[in-house]
Amino acid sequence: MKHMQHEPNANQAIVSIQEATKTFGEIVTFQGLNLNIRKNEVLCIVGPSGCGKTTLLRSINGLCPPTSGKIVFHGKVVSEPDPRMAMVFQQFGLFPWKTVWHNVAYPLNLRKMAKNEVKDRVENYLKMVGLEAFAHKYPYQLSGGMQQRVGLARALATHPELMLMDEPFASVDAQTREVLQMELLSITEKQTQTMIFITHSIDEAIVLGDRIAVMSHRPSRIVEVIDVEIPKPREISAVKSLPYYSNLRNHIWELLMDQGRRARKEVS
Amino acid sequence: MQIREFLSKDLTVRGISLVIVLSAWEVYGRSVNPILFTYPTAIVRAFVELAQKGELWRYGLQSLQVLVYGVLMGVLVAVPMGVLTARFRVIDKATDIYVNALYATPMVAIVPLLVLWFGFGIQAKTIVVFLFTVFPLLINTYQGVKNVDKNLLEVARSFCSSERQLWFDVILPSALPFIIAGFRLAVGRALVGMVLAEFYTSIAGLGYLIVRYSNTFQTAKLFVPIVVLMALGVASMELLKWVERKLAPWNRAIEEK
Repeated sequence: MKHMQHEPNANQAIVSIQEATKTFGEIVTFQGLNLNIRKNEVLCIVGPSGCGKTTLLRSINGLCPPTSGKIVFHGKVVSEPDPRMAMVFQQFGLFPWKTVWHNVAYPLNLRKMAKNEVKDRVENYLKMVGLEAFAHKYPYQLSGGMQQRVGLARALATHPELMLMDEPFASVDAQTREVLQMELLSITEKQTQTMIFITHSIDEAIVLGDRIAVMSHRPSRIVEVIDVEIPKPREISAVKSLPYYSNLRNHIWELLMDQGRRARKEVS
Repeated sequence: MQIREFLSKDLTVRGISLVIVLSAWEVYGRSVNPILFTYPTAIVRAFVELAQKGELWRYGLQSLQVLVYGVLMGVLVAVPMGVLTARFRVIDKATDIYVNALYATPMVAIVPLLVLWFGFGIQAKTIVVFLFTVFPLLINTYQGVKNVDKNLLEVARSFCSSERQLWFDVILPSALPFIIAGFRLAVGRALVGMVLAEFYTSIAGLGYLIVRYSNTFQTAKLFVPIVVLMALGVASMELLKWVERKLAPWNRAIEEK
């Protein structure tokens, strides 16, 4: 727990998770979980599959509040979705009956934003993700990578104070994945963005994260929070050639393996 | 090799098939007693005759009127009711026994009863068409609303959609292809109901023409309303496919993938 000293205290944090527990019937997904997210940081959460990372993110979003304990966002306990947060979904979550343009405009229209501002924002963010030429296509006409760019544009266009990324690049191929990581890095360089990024890829967590929270098997808790001491702006290939990178990678790998061994022992 | 190339177009194959079948029919049909059977050129002649006398249009329009009223009534009842039953469990469970029972009942069986109640006029016929239409449409609408993607509902909630907005942005668009498919099914059945009702009821409609010409052994003329009904069936299916492509362009493309 030695890294916990880097934790900001709860009143500095934009999100503060306090002793949060989530159970579904008999199954305890996470238990007594504590974590703070600072403004303008990218916090990556890595953990073995099935450890409840996505459930945690949904809890933060207010889609399924914790069974006990609390999640505080801007000093208020989260009990329902808040328009100041925006989620990017693993399966993209685009509406097949809406064009790219209307998918990005969707949350803005929900907020009853003025027509011309919606237009400006949609155009602006489609341009940012390089899809302005595809504005009038339907999602099925796009590749997976392009679809997730739409998902990204949709979330960014709401100017969220907190972006929730639910393994957003897990369902695209490896090359596209790296391209999307690069683009996300360059986007967050241009405009700072507080972000919680769920992933099961250690590489992705190190490349993108300012901090990494390592989650254990069910019932999950945070095993360690690590500062990633690689300055931004980052360049993926340069980052990956640093000795620091491989050390950190090994360290997280060991943590996860250790968790895996422990979980297997409990089963047997 | 050249033959294969010649046959590579679907349209060519269909055209050739049509020519062969119609020619065979023509040749065979001419050798049979005209009271029992007929042949394509005789049907064309009868068609021109009935069309010129205005008989075809008069009876055709009567049929079409019944069809449109019945189907329209079916849509107005089935779609809202499908949505309500899919949304509210109590309404669903209170009505599903009747819906399932009536859907399973061969509607033919209650046509005489309806004639008894509503007489021989357009009212009875419209109700028959309505009953043939309403159940497939109701059941498809119900399925469509139930089948909405849970992930997309969550996306909408995550972006703070209200319940009402959820309906217009997610549930109804997602159910739309199901509703259109139900409508296609319903129109097919409505045509059956229409002809059936005309057999049983008044002196009107294409169904009546069929009965009249078959009773008087004018077989070539008997085929005219049959061909018109066939054309009506094909045309309405194609029209609905076109409507589906316009209203739900994403759906066909996804199905084809």
